Amino acid sequence: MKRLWTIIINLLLLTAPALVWAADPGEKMVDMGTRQVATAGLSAINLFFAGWYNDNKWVFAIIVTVLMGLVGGIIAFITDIFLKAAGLDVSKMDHHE
Amino acid sequence: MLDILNFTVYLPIAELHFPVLILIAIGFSVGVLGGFFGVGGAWVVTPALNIFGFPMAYAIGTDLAHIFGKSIVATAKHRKMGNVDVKLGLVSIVGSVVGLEIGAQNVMWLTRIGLAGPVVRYTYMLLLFGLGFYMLYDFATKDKRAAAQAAKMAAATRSGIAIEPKKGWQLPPMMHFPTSGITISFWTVTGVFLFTGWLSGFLGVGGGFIRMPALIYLIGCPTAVAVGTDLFAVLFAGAYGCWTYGVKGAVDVTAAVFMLIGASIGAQIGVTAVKYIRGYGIRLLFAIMIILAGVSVVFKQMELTTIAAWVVMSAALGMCVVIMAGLWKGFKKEKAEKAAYTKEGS
Repeated sequence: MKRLWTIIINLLLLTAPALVWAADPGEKMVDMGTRQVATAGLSAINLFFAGWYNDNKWVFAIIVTVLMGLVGGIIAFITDIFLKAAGLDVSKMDHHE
Repeated sequence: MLDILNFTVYLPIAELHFPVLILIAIGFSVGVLGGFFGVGGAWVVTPALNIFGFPMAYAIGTDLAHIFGKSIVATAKHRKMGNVDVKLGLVSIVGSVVGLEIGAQNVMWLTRIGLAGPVVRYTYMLLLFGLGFYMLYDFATKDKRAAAQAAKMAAATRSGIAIEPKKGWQLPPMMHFPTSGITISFWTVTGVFLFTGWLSGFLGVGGGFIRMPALIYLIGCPTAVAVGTDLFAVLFAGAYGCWTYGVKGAVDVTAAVFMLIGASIGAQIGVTAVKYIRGYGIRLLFAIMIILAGVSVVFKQMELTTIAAWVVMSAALGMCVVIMAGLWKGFKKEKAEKAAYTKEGS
């Protein structure tokens, strides 16, 4: 164990100069709060998302949040049926380490 | 919208075509890890998306959106297994938010004096390696400690002197958490969550991987309850993250839905695996995972970004395979035991 610690500390010390001086180059960010996306050629659901994204970001945010909850719930429900069928059902478990 | 032949999908917000299978695969692997360890997994998703050329401007928001959906799935299942301590989870959210704000203010101050970069990087690495190696040490010495405790009990029985139970810091008011089976000082709970929240604000991370071991080692929760309760807290952070990044226009909803499809399936598998890989097994795998995440951070800070991303992604995929193998092994064993029991009965 002592030997392992020595190796780890040495590795950290060896990388120290690079770690201190390495600067994050950073990425130029677009101002997405006012950004508009192209809707030409889009259809159905994509047009719906892009439309709300361009028109009102607050409504877009609500749509995204609700959609994530719904999709998650639906898939969980379906997966649960398959797992139960495979015998991988779960119930309350006792907690021992 | 969906190009079946090339397996690509058009992402209307990021305005590009992206491989569907990659989105589902990333979601699936992070779903397994999230369900099993009780973490959001942003530290895996963001570099993984980066490797495949997903625009970074949308990576964090898209990631948080799918984390929210996935957390609902995983938390619901953990609750069914009795692994979510709602009371403790709510206390953790309050403490974490206050701590997070203090941590963020500290980073602002460090930025003003020009020290934020190295201080945050070193704290992050120390935390990942320190926590990982401590958990490995804890795993390696568990049998020795159990044997010492048994010897102590045997000696006490022989001499007829009862062993005094170990007393923690019991400054009132005391709080009782029936699901976790612990009674603990309000001040301890508040202090722990202020600290984990502070770390998460200071490091700019979601905090799931800090809170989970804190719940085990500092609060005293059983491992499975720590995982479920942490996911409960991640759910709220994910919901807020999803909404706020949505308002900022930084979520590609189509990509998030595809990732969520993979993640929801993966999370179900990860949570079910908790039933078969118990307490110390979870701790061991978690320790290995965060040490590898630490290695990835070291590479990243040495400007070897691609290697860093591959390390964390390979670690995530490898861990998924281990978790699924553990689940399969446990399931087969349980099936064999049930079959033997039925045979005996008849």
